[in-house]
Amino acid sequence: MSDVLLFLNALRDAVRPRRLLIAALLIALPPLLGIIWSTAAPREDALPSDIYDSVAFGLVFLFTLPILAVVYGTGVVSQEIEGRTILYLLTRPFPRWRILLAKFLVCVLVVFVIPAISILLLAFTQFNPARLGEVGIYQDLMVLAVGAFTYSALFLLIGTAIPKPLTYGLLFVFGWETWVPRLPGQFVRASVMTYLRVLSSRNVVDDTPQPQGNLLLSLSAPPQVEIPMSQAWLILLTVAFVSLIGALVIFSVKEYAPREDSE
Amino acid sequence: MIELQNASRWYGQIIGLNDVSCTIGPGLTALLGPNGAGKSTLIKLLTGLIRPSTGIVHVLGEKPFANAKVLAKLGYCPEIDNFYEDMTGREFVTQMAAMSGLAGTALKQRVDDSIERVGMTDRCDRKIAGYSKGMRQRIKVAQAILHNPDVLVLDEPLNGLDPLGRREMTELMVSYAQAGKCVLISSHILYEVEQLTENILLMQRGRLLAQGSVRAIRELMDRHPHHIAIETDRPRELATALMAHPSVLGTRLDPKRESVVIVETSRPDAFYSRLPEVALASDYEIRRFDSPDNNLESVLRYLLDNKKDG
Repeated sequence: MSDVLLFLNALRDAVRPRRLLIAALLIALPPLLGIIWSTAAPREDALPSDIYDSVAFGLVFLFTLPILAVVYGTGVVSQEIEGRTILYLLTRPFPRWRILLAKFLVCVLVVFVIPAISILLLAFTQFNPARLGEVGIYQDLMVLAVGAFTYSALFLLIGTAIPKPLTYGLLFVFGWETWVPRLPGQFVRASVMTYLRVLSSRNVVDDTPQPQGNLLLSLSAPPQVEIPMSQAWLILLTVAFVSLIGALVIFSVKEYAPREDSE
Repeated sequence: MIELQNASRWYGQIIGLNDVSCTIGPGLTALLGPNGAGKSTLIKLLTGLIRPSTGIVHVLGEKPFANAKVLAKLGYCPEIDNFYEDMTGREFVTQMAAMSGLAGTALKQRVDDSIERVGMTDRCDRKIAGYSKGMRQRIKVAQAILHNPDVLVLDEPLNGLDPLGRREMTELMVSYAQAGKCVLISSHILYEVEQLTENILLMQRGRLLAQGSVRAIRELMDRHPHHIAIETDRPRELATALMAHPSVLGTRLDPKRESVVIVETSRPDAFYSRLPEVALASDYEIRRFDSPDNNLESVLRYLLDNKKDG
């Protein structure tokens, strides 16, 4: 029962009105961009599948998903510390790892649901709703779920292990994930997004110059190395579970008491 | 119930608790000291939030850090005023009860009981965000007592309470202490602590300055003269007469009250037993006498001053 209460209370905290407003903006931006793009560009230069692929990967996968994972994943512990409410949680005869797990599940749920709604709305604006299955939307949702789980676990680990986790998380998203895959050689294998792209099986761009949406398309460029899908699954799930277990262990043994002003 | 052996705690280069050894048994004990004295560090050690850097901290015979067995018998009311603001008081206490292992009707019963004990029954279904400081204090105490703990650690529990609330909360703590529980109260409201208990722990700069009853601690302060104010009809004559007593170190007239003699003595018990004899010998009219040093604030001040001097 306590796990359920923890989960529900964490969920309620995650969907506070102010947060919902930000979530609504994140949800609405991709479909709006899709509508504007398809309206403004000539039909032959802006096929619905191109628009969908570019916006979905350039904005939702590369921005919304990791940014939500950073905020919620690192916030699982840091919010409790900053709010000092962690004192109530850690002085109860309740296993610490279960506290963290309940809150982590909420984090994964939120990090998945917001981009998922966004992707669905984007797809509705570009495709016939009856054809969503044919254009691979459900596979994208699956990739989103894996991405939400992996990124959230990774940022949960950062949040439990080091101070100022939000800063390091943002550096990881906008530094590491954005630029390391662009380095020559095998660096592309060091990015979580690389493996998510492999799972999606979408050939987002080809080598020919694109007249529209160059920034989004270039950001969503696929990896230049061949990675089997089984390897992508293995690596993503390994990163996710190792991070999650690491976070649970660290949270169980580390001290999290906030410093008193008087000390 | 609580035992510390040479317990120290460092925060990097800063020491929070310095080689503290003490035992705290059943009953009500007050933890006193100025800001930065180490009270909060000691409380964090006892409630299992941090570990000692060196030494031993035992609560109910075990190390308390992340120890479910200890935490099941320990109630903690933190000083902080922070909550999950969107919850109601009842929801908050219910979650804490669930995390204490309670479930079903037992949980509901305990939640209702603890909320009633702190006088929040009629307000517990309102959101905490709208609570006054006193109401927050009551809910904090409710979550601390809901599982009927053997050790109750209360950090500034009377903060923000109105006089009625203070009295109710005081009675609650005393009732717990009388039931054989160990109640440790950290406070800076000295006169209230003094009314609650004689057992005190005095801390300064991370060290335990003294432990025991106010009176016992006062008796330890042999170096420091004890002040006794005597109101009489002939203060000058009495002051002279008292100077002949070997336990009297000095006498002076109170500059604010002409009829009052202030006596400094290193042996108050001997002085008190001698005073009637002196008074009767020359027929002094002793209207009133008291010792300002018997209150806790004086004890604390003297001890802190002595420590600085030493």
